[in-house]
Amino acid sequence: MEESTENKERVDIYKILIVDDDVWFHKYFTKHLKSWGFEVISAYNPYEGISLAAKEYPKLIFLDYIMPEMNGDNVLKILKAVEQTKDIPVVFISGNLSADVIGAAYKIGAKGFLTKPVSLKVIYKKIEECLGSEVFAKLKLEHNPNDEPDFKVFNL
Amino acid sequence: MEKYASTDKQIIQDFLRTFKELCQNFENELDKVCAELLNQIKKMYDIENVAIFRKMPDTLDFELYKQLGDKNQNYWDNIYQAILDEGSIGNLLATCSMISTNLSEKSYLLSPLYGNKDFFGFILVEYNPKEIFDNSMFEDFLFICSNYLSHKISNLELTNKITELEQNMNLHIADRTISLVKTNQQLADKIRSLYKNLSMALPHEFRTPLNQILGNSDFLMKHYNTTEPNEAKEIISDIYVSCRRLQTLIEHYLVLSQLELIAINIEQLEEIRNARTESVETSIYNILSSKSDYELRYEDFKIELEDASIQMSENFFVILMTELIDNAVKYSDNGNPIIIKTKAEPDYLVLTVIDYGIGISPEDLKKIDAYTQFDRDKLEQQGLGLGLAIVYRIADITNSKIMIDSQVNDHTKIEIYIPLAKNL
Repeated sequence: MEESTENKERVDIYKILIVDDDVWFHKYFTKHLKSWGFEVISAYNPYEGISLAAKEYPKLIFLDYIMPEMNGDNVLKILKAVEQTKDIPVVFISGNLSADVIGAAYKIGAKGFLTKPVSLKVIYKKIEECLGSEVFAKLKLEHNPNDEPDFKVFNL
Repeated sequence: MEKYASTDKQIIQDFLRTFKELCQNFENELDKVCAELLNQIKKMYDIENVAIFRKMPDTLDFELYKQLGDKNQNYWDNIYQAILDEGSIGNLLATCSMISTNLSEKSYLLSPLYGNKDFFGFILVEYNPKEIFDNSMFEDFLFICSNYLSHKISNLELTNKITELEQNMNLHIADRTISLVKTNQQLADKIRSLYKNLSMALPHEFRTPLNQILGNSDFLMKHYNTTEPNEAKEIISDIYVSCRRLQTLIEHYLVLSQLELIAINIEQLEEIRNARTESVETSIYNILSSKSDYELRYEDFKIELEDASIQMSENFFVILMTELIDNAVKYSDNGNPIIIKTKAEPDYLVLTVIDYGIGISPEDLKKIDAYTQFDRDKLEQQGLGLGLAIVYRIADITNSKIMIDSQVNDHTKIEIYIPLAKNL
């Protein structure tokens, strides 16, 4: 029993959920997150995003602010209201937004705001900030050394 | 001389003429001054045999320049030879002071003359010491005379030099002015042809979509009540397509005319060549996100990107990349793959875009080439898009190279070699 929770914990570290209606962003983002060793779950609309968050318990959610049918702040409100998902850090990713929108989003519990186009460096820093700086060291250790992850971009 | 135009020749001839006059002036002035001096000596001491010897240019030989009396050339040549043999000329040159000597019962006085930077010559006086009341006074007088003459010569030489310099300067200014006028002329020609090309091609290209919009909307207005909804929808979508075409055209024209203007502005060109795109990959994905047309072909896109920074402004890269992707999407059918690849070589980023569509015929490819050389008025009438011309122009401005490999109804492969960003 103990072993299985440990296993679950281990897997969860690597799970990141992306909620965005932009297929290209998924392609770009998934490629790099995977190369760093993360497991990526993709949701292309807000409803899919909410259900996947509740089902998969990702460690981090990247959420597009402007989506058809339901905007990111409403998605966040729902996530915060649900017991299983209320503690998952959520980072908004969007085009240029006004300061009051960003302020309101922080008030309801957003963990950060990234502006499109997002550079890998910024994403990397944000993940470190949300999941702790040791996450990449762990990933490096557990990642298949033959499949060289794309760390070189940052000149670490 | 060939490199000068006829006006330039005229200027040089003018200059040479003035220069000759100038030299003539100098000689005339010198002549006057010397004559005046010799007359003074005659007036004071009544001596007939006074001569001025002048140093030959580039040698240490002297020759008779002017004399007071009417002795022949030989007379003075003999004396000069005798004095030279005796060593007085050598003394004169070595000491630069007045030398007196006696030769075959006659006395001679040599007084040196200086120019501005060189030994000019000397005054030679043949006299009888017994006839002179006070010899030392005579020597002093001669000394003053030679100094006066030296001073005059320096002045003349300086004036001469200054005038010569002025002339030279004028020549240079004239030369420079001519080349400036020529450059301006070329620039004006270029702008004129640019203007002509734009204004000639513009109306034709605009007319087609505009007529379609006008015709269709006119039909709808007149037959509003009798048109079936389906038919109306078709007409409206036709109008929409024409509007889009018009929009693309206007955008292309604006970009292209801006590019043409940049290409002739050296300062702006420099600024643009210093700009860079930090991440090609981010930029490309951003472009793909920007248009909904691309999402419809999501499955067709095969993307293999190696990220790098390039020496091309983000703005230009976006324009270039959008054109390439637009063309690939427009000219290939759904289901045919579109390949976008980037690969960093040591100096270049190789950007490859391949589509399996209608392709470009070799004739049309040639036309694009010609097109960039301002043949727009002819080509635009054949409906060749401006997109590739824009790509060519940007490549041109940013020192990139383009290779196009295409086969009609098979494929189009465009490879662009963009310089990698210089390390900061």
